Amino acid sequence: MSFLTPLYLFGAALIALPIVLHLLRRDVAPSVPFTAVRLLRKSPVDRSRRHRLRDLLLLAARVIALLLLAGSFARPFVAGAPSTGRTTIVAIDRSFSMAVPARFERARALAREAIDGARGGPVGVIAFDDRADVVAAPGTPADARAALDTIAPGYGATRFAAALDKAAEILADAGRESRIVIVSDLQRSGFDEGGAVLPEGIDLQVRDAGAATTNLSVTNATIDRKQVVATIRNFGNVARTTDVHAVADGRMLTARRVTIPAGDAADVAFDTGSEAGRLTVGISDSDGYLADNERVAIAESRALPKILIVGGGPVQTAGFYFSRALQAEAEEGADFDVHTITGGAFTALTPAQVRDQSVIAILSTHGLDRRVGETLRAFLDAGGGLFIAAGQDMDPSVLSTLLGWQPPLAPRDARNAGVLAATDLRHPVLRPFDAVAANFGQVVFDRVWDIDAGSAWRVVARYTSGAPALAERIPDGAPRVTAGRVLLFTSDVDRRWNDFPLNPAFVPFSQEIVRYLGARPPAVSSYVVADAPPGVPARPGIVTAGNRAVAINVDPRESTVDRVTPAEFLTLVTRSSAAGAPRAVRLAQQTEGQQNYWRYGLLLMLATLVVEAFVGSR
Amino acid sequence: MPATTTSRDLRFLDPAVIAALGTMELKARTVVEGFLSGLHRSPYKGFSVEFAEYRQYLPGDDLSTLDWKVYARTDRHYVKKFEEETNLECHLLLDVSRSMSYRGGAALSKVEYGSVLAASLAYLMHRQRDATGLIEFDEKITGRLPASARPGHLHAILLALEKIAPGSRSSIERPLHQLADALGKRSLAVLISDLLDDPDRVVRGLKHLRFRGTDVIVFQVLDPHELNFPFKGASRFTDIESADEVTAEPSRVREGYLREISALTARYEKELRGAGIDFLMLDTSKPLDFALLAYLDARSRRK
Repeated sequence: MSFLTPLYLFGAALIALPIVLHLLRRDVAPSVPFTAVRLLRKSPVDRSRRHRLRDLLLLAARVIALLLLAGSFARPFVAGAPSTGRTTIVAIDRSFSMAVPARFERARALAREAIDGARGGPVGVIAFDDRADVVAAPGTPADARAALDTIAPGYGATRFAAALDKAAEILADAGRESRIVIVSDLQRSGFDEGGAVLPEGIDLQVRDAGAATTNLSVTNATIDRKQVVATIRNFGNVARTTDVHAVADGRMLTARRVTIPAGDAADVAFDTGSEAGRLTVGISDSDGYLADNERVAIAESRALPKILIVGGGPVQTAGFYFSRALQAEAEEGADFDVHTITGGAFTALTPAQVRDQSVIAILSTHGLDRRVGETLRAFLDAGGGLFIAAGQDMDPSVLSTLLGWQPPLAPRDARNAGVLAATDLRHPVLRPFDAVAANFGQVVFDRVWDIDAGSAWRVVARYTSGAPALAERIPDGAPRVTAGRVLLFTSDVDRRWNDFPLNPAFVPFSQEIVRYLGARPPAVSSYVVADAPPGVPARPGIVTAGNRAVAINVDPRESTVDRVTPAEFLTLVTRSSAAGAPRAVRLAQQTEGQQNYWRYGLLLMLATLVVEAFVGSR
Repeated sequence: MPATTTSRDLRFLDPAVIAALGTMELKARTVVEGFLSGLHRSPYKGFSVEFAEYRQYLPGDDLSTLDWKVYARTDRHYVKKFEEETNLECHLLLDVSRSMSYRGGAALSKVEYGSVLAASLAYLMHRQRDATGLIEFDEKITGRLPASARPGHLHAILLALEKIAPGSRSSIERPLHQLADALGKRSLAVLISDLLDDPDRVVRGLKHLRFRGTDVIVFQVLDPHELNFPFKGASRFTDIESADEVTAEPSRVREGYLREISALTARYEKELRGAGIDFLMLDTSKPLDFALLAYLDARSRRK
């Protein structure tokens, strides 16, 4: 008999209470002054044996009730009973290296052997590569064998840590004597990321399904303007010759034959004649792993986010401070591609040219006509960002008409609005300022628009007069995922209504605004299978993720043929006693949870108290 | 004996109310006035006409006998009716032994209750112009005021009752024998005691008193706890006079005890009445009017 919370057993010391009370009561009754004791003496005084027995029964009942209470709170359980046999988890490797002819069949046979050796205990099956999935929860061998037939090699890379973690998690829930059988080709790269830790007490067995092999792999493919380069690596022990063929934007390039020494790599370049967007490079290697014989790539976009400033005055002065603030260079160069045009020039842009912009900053409505409205709304619907700053060339009614705002924006002209104060420091525009947000307090705003925010605008910052300073437009109707953001700054950014452009906070303020509005750095366009974006099939190829194309390739680390022996495998797995202790606790908790002896203890205690009440009332 | 006072008057006879009053004189006056007030309005005119100083005004009565104070208080006309002063000697015998100091479930201890009763009787007797005396005793006579009808004597009796202190253990027989020789004929002795003594000896002493020609009224004063034995839980009962102890489970001994105390009271009643002695058992939680009526009854028969 063991206890889950043995400290409660100290509560059993409370039995001293009824015992002491019993002893005190037996010998000492309270003294009661009385007069007719002479008459009382003649009455039979009750100290019969029957009542002494009753007192003893009461004492026993109270002591037993307290012992049962303490015992129940201590959560008793019988360790190791009842056991239904050893739980076995068979973890089978499904990385692309297992796709070598006959290798996976051998692995499946080894897994079946492991299932048969489960000696009647429950058997579960895990399929693993970069991640581990439970194919069959611990159950009957028949279910495990059936689940085994559904597993096939994929395109992932071997990560033994994932398999061991998942198996240990299942066994922690199973809570019995346990065993893990790893069936794999035992590539050494499976330990590259470390973390292969297993709690002590779990029997780990390894079945080698692999064999010495050779492999040629396309480990890299890049597009450099009119030239593409592929890196071919020979993982074998002898030099290999192979044909390398490439397809750029659907056009087959001239195949190249290359000989690669053992354990070495070679770069193969192809001239494409024009800038290529998509590339597929392949080799012929029927002896090695098939999945790494081909690699895809797309041209990396180096374009900076485009910011278009629409100003009403002469081109050389409109939005001068704002554009300079955005073009302030960091160490790696400017973050934005900024252009400034007049309203008339903006009207002449095609919708496609507008859509090409990340953020449009409208600092003047001068020269804008109705066509611009449709273009802007389409731009916003496509996720573009719009920045609007008040100013002497900004007509709020024109703006409302262009953007279809109902009710129209009707600001009051306000003077001496004070300084700017951040209202919502959690907003992404202001969050980076945090402790230095007080710098805004040095800027004096002589003239601003005092708008009625209502339910159409979310105010991010206000002037000390209370008028909104920076507000974000709340989308009309149901929020659309693709809806672009609109920010309104109610004073100008050209130093006519304030001296904000001279303040050190102006540059970061401007940059944070356009970043929030959608000017993101170029996105990564190349992934390995394990890191593919959500919603993308876990297989190599060029696919569309959201609104962009990405290249998915197999992990080149899986292409190695270097293997470990089963004995070496066991030494590479770290046994964790720290992880074992919680496991023992979990095991105890599960056993106790299955047995639930504490409930019987409490029921017995209640029964004892009923008996005590019955005897006490006699 | 039927109740003779209204509930409003009973309020002034309630021991709990009396216990809260100040001096013994005030207590006695409150009890007697309340009692008489009820008595005047009661249908038992027999006592009233024979005894009371007041009766309702009837046409033809001398207006000089009207009590204007009563009229002011009650808005009714009463006339004072003075009786001839008698030569009756009344002796109040109050047991002050330690058992009389017991107070269980009542507002007054037995000796306090007995004192108020004695004071009330003294007040009543004084109004009646009877010579009144007070004798306190435990196992011997511890205090004595001879019978007198002098105006200041009532005050002396009330003062003595106010200063009563618990004495030692009871032995009623001995003082009674002493008094039997000391009291004159044509006297009335009122014994106030719990009578928790050997009944043979108590009865013997009282019969001796009666044999000497003294009319005797016995008030046995008992506490509600002595009458009902309401104790719970095993207890060590300690006699407050003898320090004898009995450990008992009250639920087990209650029945036997009640039987014993009832038998004791019944025996007193039977033997004393047989000897021409009036006997009345008083519960200290109950009003005093029964006792006063018993006294009036005895006095009326004596006349």
